[in-house]
Amino acid sequence: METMMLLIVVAIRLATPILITATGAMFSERSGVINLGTEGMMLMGSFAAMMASLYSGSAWVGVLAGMTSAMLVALLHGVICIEFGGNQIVSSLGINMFLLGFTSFVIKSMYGTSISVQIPSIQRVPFLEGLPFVGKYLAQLPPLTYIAFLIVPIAYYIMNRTPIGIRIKAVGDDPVTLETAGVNPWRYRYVCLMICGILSGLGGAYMSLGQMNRFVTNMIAGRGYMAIVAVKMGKWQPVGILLTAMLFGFSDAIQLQLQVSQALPIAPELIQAIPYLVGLIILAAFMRSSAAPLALGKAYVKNKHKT
Amino acid sequence: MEYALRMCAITKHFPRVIANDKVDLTLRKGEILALVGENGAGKSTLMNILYGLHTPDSGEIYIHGKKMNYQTTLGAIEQGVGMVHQHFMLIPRLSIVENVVLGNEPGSALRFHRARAKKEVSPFLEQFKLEVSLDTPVQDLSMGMQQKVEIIKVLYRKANILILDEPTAVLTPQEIDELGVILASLKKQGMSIIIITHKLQEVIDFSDRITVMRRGVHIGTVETAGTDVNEIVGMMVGRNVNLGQYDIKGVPDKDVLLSVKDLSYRAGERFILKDINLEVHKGEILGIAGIDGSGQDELTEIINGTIKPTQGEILFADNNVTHRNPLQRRRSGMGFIPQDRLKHGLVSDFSIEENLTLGFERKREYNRKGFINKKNRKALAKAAIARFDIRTTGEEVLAGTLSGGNQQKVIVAREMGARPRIIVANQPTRGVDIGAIAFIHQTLIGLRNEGGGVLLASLELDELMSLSDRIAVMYKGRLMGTLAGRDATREKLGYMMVGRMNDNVHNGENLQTEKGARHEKE
Repeated sequence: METMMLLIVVAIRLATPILITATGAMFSERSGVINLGTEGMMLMGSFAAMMASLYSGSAWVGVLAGMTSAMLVALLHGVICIEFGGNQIVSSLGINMFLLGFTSFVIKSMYGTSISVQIPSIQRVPFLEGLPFVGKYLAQLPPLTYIAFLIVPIAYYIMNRTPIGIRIKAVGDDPVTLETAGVNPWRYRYVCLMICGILSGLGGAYMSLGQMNRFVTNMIAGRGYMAIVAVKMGKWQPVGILLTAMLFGFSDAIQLQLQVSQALPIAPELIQAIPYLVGLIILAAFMRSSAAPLALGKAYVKNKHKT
Repeated sequence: MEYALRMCAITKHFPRVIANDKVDLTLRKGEILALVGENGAGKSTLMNILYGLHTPDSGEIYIHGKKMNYQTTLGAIEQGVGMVHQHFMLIPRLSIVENVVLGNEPGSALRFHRARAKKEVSPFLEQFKLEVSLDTPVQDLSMGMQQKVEIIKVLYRKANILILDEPTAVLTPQEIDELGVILASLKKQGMSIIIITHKLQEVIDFSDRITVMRRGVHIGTVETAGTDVNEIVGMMVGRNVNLGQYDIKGVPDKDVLLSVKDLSYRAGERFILKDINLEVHKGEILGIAGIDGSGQDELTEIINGTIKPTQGEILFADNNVTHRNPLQRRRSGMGFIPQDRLKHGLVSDFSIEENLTLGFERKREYNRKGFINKKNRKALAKAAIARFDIRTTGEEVLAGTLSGGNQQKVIVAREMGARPRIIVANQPTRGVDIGAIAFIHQTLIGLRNEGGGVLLASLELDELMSLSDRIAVMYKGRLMGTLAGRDATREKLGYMMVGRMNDNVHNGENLQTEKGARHEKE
């Protein structure tokens, strides 16, 4: 029982950054913009969160900084792809490479190593400890995890109960139709991409402030890509994404458990690969889905000669 | 005379072309105006300007006498202009009600008032006799129904000027008649309507006046009552062309040239083609009719060899060619005119000369000891350009820069140049100007008269009826039946195209009850 509960807590903790980022990526993809830059945006978020937390002494200032910085990165991606119709995959991969190099360089030049000092963090919710039975487990979850689970119903509401949601679906399937209906399709793409940036930054901040209490070079380690996989497997629906993120969390938790207990005589590197393997299989199975936005990845540029 | 709309001296340049050159257009209140012209005449550009999708370089627009200067579609919608585009502006996965209100959703930004939206939209559904739930996703509707949703979308925005861009292109003959009724009733309600079209018969049936454009210029406007198809065609092309009057000689041979036996093609679980049996005789044009997506594309591609059937076989001149590749089939005398000329017919970055030899590089006349015989190729290209009347400045011109009609002539020249025994053509005149249509028709008839065979799939019933010896009708991947060309009428074909069998054709009432009964069963 004790082990089971701990496994669940660990799984939720590990699922959180993927869940937050994937919910953001859902908005971006639903609006028709591919953003593989979630990886770099998370990295930027965790880095900026660490820096702000270090210099301000407040982890919450760090969270804000993480969200803002990643939003600015998303804005850059938006200018390249939405404004000028650049290739969305190339742009976002470029962003990832640049930010990996940039953050690694700054950390190395500050500390001479790839790990930052300890910083103020928010890993627990102590006041929940008073609750009977589950209190001691709930208190072990970072506050950002609770925020993550709050974001899911909000995203669901926006997508299914508001005109904004209808228009997001419309711009992702066919921006021309939205424009002929008198709505500015570019605005919706920008807003969705910014939401993706903000949530990726939050997911990144969770890594350095909620999961740990420091920044480590390349600490995102593919979680940004896992988030994209979660969007596809979750069929671009908030609830589906939640379930997929939990699946990733569990496979990651089991992987950790196997490493610690040394139950299997396998090299730890192979065990570490389990969550990625799960992601790869899922991606192969769900890549071609009819749920995909029809205009995903297709640029729609203002004032182009339309025939 | 009260004008709902006046467009004065509209000029619009695109890179390298003048799409509209000082075009004038007037629309009376409560009339149906047909705007006709060949592809590239500038009709769509003019209407896109009216709808705010393009900004004119110069010129003025007056709506109900008031000068306009909106530059967005939103501005046009606010002035009561609504447009039904040729490619429907509907989001397939969204429901009917969501599509209708998109952009004008009742409620606030953070709350979509679905109940109110439904209440506002449902009267339109009754008016248009659409008996489906408002929550049905648009992708589940037929093309005719989708078009009604498009019109409802425009009416919901309180438009009083309605533009329809090629409204009949995707409709069956019966749906076209229904559209005519709808337009007449809208006209009675005071709506002013512009129809862009190149199907002339409809123009005569629907419109009060006809405005003709050619190469970006307004050629003239005439009262429909005082004109006929020939005059309009003359205005459209600037010379006299006789469409539909061809020199078809003799009767088809008894000998079978191509036969398709028990052919089925499945994609996943779904049958795209099922149990197709047909024959093309020597000296025969066999037409294939059907609404878009009934399996014609797959059928022609299977005969050509680019896709493999799941079941059945294809015999060509008594040889089983089912397992031969396209090259082998072409060498044995099969020519192919694909539906999408830029995707499957031509390489747009290659010159006309190169396109003319595409696939035939190894033939003796193009080949010299394994190298391409450029001198000979050039001479043959020049001859083909002259013979097939390809309008261009030279054989080095890139195929992609030619007009649609000339591109199609390049394909026809290549396929005919191989002296085929049969031509398999899928919509060979789609998006082609009238002059080129007549030329392509004559070429196909020429092949037929010399004892060759033609399999002609087309969405244009007039084309099929004027060329074919027999017409086979497809519906959802099955063959509904075959009519002799002289027996075929639009009504008969139309009924078969929506899945009714031939013997029911004359009995309209029976059909209705049969349809009702089927619905009850479902």
